[in-house]
Amino acid sequence: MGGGNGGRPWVEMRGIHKWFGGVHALKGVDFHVHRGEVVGLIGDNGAGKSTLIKILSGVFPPDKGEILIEGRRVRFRSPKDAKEYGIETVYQELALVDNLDVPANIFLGREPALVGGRGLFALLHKGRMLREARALLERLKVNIGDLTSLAGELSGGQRQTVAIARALYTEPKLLIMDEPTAALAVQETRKVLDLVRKLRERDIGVVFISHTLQEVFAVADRIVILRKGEKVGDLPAAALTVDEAVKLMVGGEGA
Amino acid sequence: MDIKAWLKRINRNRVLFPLGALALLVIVAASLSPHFLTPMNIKNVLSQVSIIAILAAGEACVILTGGIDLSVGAVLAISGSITAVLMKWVGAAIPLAILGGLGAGALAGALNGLMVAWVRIPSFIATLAMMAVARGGTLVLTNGRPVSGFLKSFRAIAGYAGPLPLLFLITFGVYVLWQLALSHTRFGRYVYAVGGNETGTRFVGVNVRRVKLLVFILAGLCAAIGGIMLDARLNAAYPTAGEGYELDAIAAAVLGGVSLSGGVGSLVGTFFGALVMTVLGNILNLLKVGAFYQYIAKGLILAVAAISLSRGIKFAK
Amino acid sequence: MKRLIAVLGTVLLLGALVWAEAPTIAVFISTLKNPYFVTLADGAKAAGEEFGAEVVIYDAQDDAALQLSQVEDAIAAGVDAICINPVHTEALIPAVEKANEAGIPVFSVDRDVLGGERVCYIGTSNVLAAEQGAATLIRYLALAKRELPWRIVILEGIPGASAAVEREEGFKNVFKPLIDGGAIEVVADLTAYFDRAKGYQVMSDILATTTDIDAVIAANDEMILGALEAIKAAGLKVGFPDGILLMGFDAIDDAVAAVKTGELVGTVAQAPYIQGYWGVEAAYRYLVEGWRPPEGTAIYPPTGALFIPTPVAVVTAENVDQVAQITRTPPPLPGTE
Repeated sequence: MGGGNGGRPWVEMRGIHKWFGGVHALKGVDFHVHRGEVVGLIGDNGAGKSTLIKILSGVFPPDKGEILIEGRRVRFRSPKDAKEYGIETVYQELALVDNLDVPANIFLGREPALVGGRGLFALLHKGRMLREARALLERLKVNIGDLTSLAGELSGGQRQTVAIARALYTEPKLLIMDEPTAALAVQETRKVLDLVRKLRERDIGVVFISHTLQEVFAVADRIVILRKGEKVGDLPAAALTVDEAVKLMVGGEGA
Repeated sequence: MDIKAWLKRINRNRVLFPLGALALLVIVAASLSPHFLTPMNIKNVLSQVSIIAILAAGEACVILTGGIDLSVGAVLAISGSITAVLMKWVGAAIPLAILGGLGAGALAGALNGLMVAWVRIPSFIATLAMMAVARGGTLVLTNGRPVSGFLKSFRAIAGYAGPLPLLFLITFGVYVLWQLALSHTRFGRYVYAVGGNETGTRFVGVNVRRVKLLVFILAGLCAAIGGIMLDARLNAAYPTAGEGYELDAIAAAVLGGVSLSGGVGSLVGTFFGALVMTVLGNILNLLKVGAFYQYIAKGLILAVAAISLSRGIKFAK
Repeated sequence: MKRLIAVLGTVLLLGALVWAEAPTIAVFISTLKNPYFVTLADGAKAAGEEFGAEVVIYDAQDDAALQLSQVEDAIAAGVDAICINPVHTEALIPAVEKANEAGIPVFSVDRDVLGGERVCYIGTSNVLAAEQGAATLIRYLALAKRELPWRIVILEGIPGASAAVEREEGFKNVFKPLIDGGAIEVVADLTAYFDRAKGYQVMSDILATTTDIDAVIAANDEMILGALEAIKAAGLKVGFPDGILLMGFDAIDDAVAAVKTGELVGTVAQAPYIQGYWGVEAAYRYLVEGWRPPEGTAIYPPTGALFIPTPVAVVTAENVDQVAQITRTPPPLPGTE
């Protein structure tokens, strides 16, 4: 497995702080991911998981601290900047546009044009979108069926697959998955976890966030635990049990 | 398979119902009144539908993004008045006066767009404010009086090109362009995307504000075209023009299958929706149905249409 | 004389042949939201029943474009004559022109259209009627022996609507010399859009600034009745001789009732019922009997139409009991006596 090696991480966050009004949401968190490594990020509600990954994906700037990619300092002013460095995010709550079909969702915001280049009134190359969407899904070995279905007509697992495929289209170096299995049935969850393992084989780093610790343990190489804005654990998955993880998440008092 | 996909697409655009309603209405109208399918009446209907349809075109696109524009009737009035004032009081050349009217419409739309997309005022409130400002501005500009008596060459806009009313051709042209833009350009795709999932669309890097701004500008432009067409048709601009038209425009869009929650519907459907409303009024007039019964008949038919629209075609969502 | 009888006979005979079926007369009303025009429509319907014509009422909801569409549709439906109470004096010219092209006679009612061929305009001069109303108000102010200057409020109609413009002109004709002479002070001159709720609102806004008011005159009854409620709500006294004197316009039923109770000193009765009645009667007689506006019919100066004036009366406590008779009994149409 590519994870956990001793070399330089692909991305590194150092001493990250974030305040929202008077709330100190992140208190100097260090975080890193290697290529081909699946990092499970866990913590109770309000621990700072979402804030941390939103900083990593360029949604918020950190108030203090720095982000390095391949050892060089970077600053993200928007999710677009992060994407240009190869960081893609799959948000559970933002998922897909239900009233558009599969190719339209995969290419949303970067539609290939017949004429007109990058302009707003460029003519869409619908044929190419359909072809490339099909090819992309075939590479990931997933079956969606009729690609002209609207996203709203797909099952939860299919939707999540399309959302991941969309994030993978640009061949990112790091994929952040925020609760990718929250709305899924067991069978579909398994498919998503399989997909995560495939990403590791393709040397893509993954940050995997889930409330279901069993899933995290099933797929992660390393587990990072946050509590009240601080990192309280950073261990290889093999060196940790679910019970120990829970104790770290909720705090050390007794038991 | 191809036919199936094609049917699916038509179904998705929700044009079958308004088309069916229109066909039914035409058949009923033709069998009830011998005057309905006369060339004269067809010309009348096509002229009559033009103004409401052009407002509905702009309105439909705003609704597709999940917004609403209550100012189109008032923007119609101020644009029409500016064109009229430029021609009659300033003595501007006709093309210049028309440009002035269109510019006013675009500006009003741009202000709507800025209020909605940048200041984040809900579109209902922002355009309600614009409606009041534009109506007041029209009264100030015209001193509350109608401006009338335009040159023949301007009135020709309400004339005929061969057998067809020019007003209708203008509206039809706008619809063709609009529909092409909606279904084949990046802009059109974003209109639907914003209506379907605004936050998600912003997250993939689409400039949602710019899309909203443009949609409101285009709605303002459509209203301005409507105002200028109304000037030509009535040979007068009057400050109360277009009062309540925003509701007709919204109704035409909704009858045409545009969902008020955004993201679903098409201009083709909207056009049929506008035609349904116009033909309905026309046939009641042809049948010499008295005013009070007309209200009841229209209300009942619209309610039935709306119910069957929402019940008849279910969409995955 | 014999020839005349022969001609008349032929016309009647032809008329009887052509109109074996009852003629259809389309009546286009600017808005049926206003009871004044409902009364006009009632008059039109009554005439239809009286003469055996089919009368169709169209309601334009104060929308000129809609009215044009209705006229187009009626022409397409083949109506025989058109009575139009236009939404706007100018914006309906194309409608009259279309009727002219189709050879359908047009009669304007209550408000004239500024172009196209009208057989005649049946209505009242708003200017003259407004002058009568204003003069009556002055008479009552003098009778009440109010201290000078008289402080009055004027409520105007929809800006730009011809009735509003003309009534304003009539008020001003009477008030202007008195204002210049210092006998009248205008507390406020505001529009309440011919609307009762707006009349209430505008009046209460005015009352918030001052309650020292001698009289209110409004360009229609809806507004004065709204103002009346506002004044009562403010706890002020209305009526002759020591309250605020209120003068309305149109003599709608509510206003006449208020004159009876003394809350209004008066309202100008324009007899919309007679206008509607005469409009259909004139159209019917035009089609069937060859009626034309009689020789010597005056011209209505603002529009240049042949003018068939309907009676005007100011309804006050003195004549309120005869109102129904005055406003609902059409005298013979000029040229038919």
